[in-house]
Order: sequence, then structure tokens, then C-alpha cells
Amino acid sequence: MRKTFDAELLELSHELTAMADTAQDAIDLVTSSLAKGGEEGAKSAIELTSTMDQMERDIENHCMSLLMRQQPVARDLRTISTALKMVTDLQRIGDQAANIAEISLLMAADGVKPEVPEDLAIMSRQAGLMVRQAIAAYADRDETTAQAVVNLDDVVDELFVKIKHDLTEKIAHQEDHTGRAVDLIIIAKYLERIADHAVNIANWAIFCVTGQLQ
Amino acid sequence: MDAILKTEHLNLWYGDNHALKDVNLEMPEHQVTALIGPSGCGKSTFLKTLDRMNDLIPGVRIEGQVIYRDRNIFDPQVDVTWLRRHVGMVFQKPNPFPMSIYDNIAYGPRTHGIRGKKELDQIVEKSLRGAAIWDEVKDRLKKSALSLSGGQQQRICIARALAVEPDVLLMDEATSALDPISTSKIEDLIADLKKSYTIVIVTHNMQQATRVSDRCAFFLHGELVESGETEQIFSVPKDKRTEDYITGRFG
Repeated sequence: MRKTFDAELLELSHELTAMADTAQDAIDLVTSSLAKGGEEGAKSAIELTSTMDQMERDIENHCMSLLMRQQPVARDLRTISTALKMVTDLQRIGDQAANIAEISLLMAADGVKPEVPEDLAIMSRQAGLMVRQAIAAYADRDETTAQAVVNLDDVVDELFVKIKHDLTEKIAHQEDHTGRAVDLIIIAKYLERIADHAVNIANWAIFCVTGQLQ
Repeated sequence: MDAILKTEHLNLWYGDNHALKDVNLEMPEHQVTALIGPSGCGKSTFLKTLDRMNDLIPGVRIEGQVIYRDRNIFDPQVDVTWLRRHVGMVFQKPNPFPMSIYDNIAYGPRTHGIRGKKELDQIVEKSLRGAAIWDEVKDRLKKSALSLSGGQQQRICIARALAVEPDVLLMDEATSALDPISTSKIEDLIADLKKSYTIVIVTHNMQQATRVSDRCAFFLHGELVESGETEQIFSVPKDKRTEDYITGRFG
């Protein structure tokens, strides 16, 4: 029974996974290009985030169509309604990655090749992984992984506080170009926001499994 | 929760077939309780038992209690006519009597000894209004009820049930033979009727159960698997079998 509906729900989770993969790629690309300097990586990252816009529309349309045709209840209803919520968070993650790429392009235009703190690279990897794992938790109905993503938020928050502190110190001692340091703080803030959106997604994944809103 | 009708350890056998297994269910006053489950799960048997419509079928054996306003309806002192006056039934297929609209509605009250024309006129109008069909038939009360559409006939049957002023209205798939517009009228009617009556419905339409009922009871193989608020049953059911049924994984 209900082969078509199950196949479509599976397809929906594949679509979200593909969008999360794209988000993770964009985050990785933009952070690595920051360290390298130049425009190429940042431009590619911006292209990736614009494909995410189309992915968002497709997923939304798919959800609307499923709601109309299947009139879902219980777990099916949670699977589709959480997809609609998560896709918005994924889209915001794309926006933040694009914002980082814009700053990166401005730096490149100024001929600046900033010294990227190691903590910022760690933070970026962490945030990208959180996005990917939050969606995997939804696709696999894995409450434990989702909870692990929620718990990782503190690690990212601490990294942000540390990066901000270190860069502020540098500004105070005029060890670095002030504008560049401020840009890096803003980038760290964007990454911290990406992690927050990943936590939102993980909370929706938990709701999808348990029916309980956190 | 004030239950006007409840069952306690209700068991029913059709010969060797154990059709209801230890069912305990409370149906609160002025609420709509929907009975859901796949064909043959016992929900219609359960509904009929509430009106003692199957205890005289040969081979049927019943144990346990159905309590209507603190009285066990199987008590030898309970008169079935008394019970059916208080607990009315509307069936799946509209079944008006082959007589005029007026006489269909007046039939029950006449059986209960009401003869005065003025009083009967009042009952007929009140019942037809209650069933949201007065405006459609007030100018042709002497016409045969069989001349009406299916949806109208079903509302005549509801009016006929209301004419004896019951407490409880049982509806066995009352909209399954109707088109979407007639269905929607009956669903609106159910929402109105619950202000004055307690309603128990059997439905195969899950969306209908979510739209009209306050509480839901899921039956499977004669067993009451789960009951609770409709919102809870259709959002986070406790039992996996309930989840599998309402999401169409079996049945």
C-alpha cells in the first residue's frame, strides 16, 4: 500500500539532503577561498547559493503538492511540515554563506589576503558539518544525531567568543589591519548564525521523530 | 470529562467469532466521538450494541456493560423502546419511510403517543430545522420523502431521529453515500447538533474524523487499540498500529 506516497517522501528527503550538501559545499568553498585570496572560490560559492534558491522553490512546491494530494496526518504530516520549516533555515544558511563570499570578494578587490585564524576554519567546518548532520538526522529519523547537533551549538558559540576576543586584542594592539579584523569578526558572526540555523533544523528533526516541540 | 455513555469490559461474540474484546470506552456529553478502523474491526458492531440493535440476532452473546446515564442498558428492566428514544441512530444509506416528509418525522412521536396536530406540527418543524433542511422542504411536506435527493433524504433521517428528542445520536457512516456538498452540509450539521446532543459516528473517512470529531477511538480486530482527543490521535498517536492505519499503511 501507499507506494507512491512513500516514494515521494523519500524523494523529499533526498531533495533536502542535496540542498544541505550544497550549503556545506558553499560554506567550505567560501572559507577556503578566504585563506587563499582571489575571487574564484567566492564567486563559485555565490553560484552555489543561487542554485539553493531554486532548490528551495522546488522543495516548497513539492511539499504543497503533497499536502494537497495526500492530506497527511501524524508522522507524514510532521515529515512534510518540518520539511517546509527546514527549507527556510537552509535558505538562510545559503544567504549567510553568500554574505561571507561578498566580504571575501571585497577583500580580494582590495588585494588583501587575510591571515585567517585557525579557529575560524574550525568554526566553518563545524558549522558545515552541523548543517549536513541535522538534515541526515531528519532523513534517517535519528533523534540522537539531531540532539548531538543541538549540543554542538555551545562549541560554536565558544569559538565565536574566542575569535572575537582574539581579533579585538589584535585591533587593540594594532597588530592587524583594523578593517580586516572587523571583517573577520563579521564572518565569524555569520558562521555562528549558520550553526544556529543548523540547530533549528535539528530541533525540527527531533519534532519530526517525537512529535514534541523543543 | 462527563461521560453520558460508556462501555465497561464489553465483549460480543457472533457464534464463535469474538467480535468485540473487552472494550472500555467513555463517550463524553456534547462531544463527537468518532469510531475508526478497517472493515470488520468491530466499530459498527460496537455502535449497534450501544442501541441494542444486535443482541437479539441469533448466536450473538454479549458480556460486560453499556452504561447510559448510570443505567446498564442490558438490565432486564430497561425497555428497548425507552433506550432508542434516548439513543437515536442514523444509518449509512438514507432510509426514509415510503411516506410523506411530514409523516416520516411524525412517525416516532406518534409511536410515543403524541396525536395532537398542533404539537406534531411543532415537532416536525423543530426537527427539520434541527437537521438544517426545513427551508428546502417546508413547502412540500406532503410530498414523498423518497422524491428528495440522497443528501436531503439523509437529513430527513437525521430529523426523524431528532423528532423523539434523543440524548445521543449514533451515525453509521452517515455520509459515505453522499456527494461532497451534501457531506459538507451533514458535517456542518454535526457541529451544530453537538451543542444539544452527544454524537457517536462511525467513519471510514479519516479527514472527516479530523474535521468533525472531538475524540477518536481506533478499533482493530475487535479490540479498542487507542482512544483520545482527535488532535492527539491524528498528530502523535501512541500506538504504532493506530499510526499505520491513519496514515494508510494498512486497511
